[in-house]
Amino acid sequence: MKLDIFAYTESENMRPEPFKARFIPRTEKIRKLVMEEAAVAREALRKYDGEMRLTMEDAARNPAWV
Amino acid sequence: MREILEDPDDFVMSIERYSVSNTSIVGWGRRIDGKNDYVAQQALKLMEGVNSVVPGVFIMETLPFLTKLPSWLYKLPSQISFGGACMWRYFYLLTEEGAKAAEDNFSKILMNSQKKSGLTDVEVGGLAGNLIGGGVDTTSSTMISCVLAMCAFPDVQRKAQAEIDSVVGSDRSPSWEDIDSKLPYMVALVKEVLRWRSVAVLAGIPHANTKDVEYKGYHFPAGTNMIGNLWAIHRNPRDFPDPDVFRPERFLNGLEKPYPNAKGSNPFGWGRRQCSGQPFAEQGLLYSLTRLIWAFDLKPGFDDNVRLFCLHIPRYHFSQPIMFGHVLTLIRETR
Repeated sequence: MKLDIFAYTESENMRPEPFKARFIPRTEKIRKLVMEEAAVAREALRKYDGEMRLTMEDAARNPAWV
Repeated sequence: MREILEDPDDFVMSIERYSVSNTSIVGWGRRIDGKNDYVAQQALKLMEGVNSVVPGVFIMETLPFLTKLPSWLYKLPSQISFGGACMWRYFYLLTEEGAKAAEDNFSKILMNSQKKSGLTDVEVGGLAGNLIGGGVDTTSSTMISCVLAMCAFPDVQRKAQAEIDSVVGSDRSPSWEDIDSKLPYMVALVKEVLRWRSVAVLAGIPHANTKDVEYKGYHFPAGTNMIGNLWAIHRNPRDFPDPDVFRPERFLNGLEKPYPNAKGSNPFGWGRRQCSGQPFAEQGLLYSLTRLIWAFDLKPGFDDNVRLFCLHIPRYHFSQPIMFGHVLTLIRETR
């Protein structure tokens, strides 16, 4: 795999073909901040937790025809 | 960001989960926590269908009478109709369920509108599905392009990090306040990603002219299917010299070159059918990309021999839209 700025999918919504990248935390302090803030955010977002049990099979039993 | 920190090789899926989750909270008041979530999988499946809107892919577009053939002779149109009918019902059911959530969300607005204005189930399902259609792939692909650009143009990355560090310091992360008003280079960088590799290369949904138009010797009768070649527009060397070079300075301190609008580009399309989620997308991209570039040094991957890949920038060959007028005329004549 080579980094190529022209390696894009042929699609209506294009995106880069898979490539490898390294994400190196810039400092130890930043690494810690990311982990700490992620824990805070997880709690703040708990009100949006929930399981949807709907499946495409439920929908296929009663399709919405145009 | 935590996911990328813990499993950087899977960064594409983390970005995807983030963008599905964002739209899902707005749409149905429900967060997507895991990469294997069922709703997320359905959303990504819906996005695969977007390829069928590339003009000219299916012969029935050019020869519309084919859609009237019985399905045993030509299966595709009925398959597409059935797939669509299931998809709309699925999104309708999600909306019905989402409207029961405690927090405010788009599902509540949709279900109320159905009562008040008599929207059909298909309209409700379509409007809800449009959140996914418009909000998932576009955001995630732009973010992935930004990662690619940062790997390929390390000087730009260093400038952005220097700006962020000068405003934020080293003891905290960038806040909404910093991002909203204190990081002009970062704002220009996001505009440059949206220009450099605009996701909707054909500017999304086709347009049509309301009146007859004469342009460079071509006659376009009212109602002609018009597709804007955003790939060519955003990489026209007249407006964007060295178009494949990633350079936020094009949008820093005003526009470097004149452009038909004040923003200097059209990544969200134009006119009545331009992207309805533009402010949502711009805000999310600016916030998440600033934090990504603040947190990480982004570098190209190593291959198995631990050798740095060399960057390959081939020359630009696609400057001319080919046979543009003729294709449009053909579509028109076969209607």
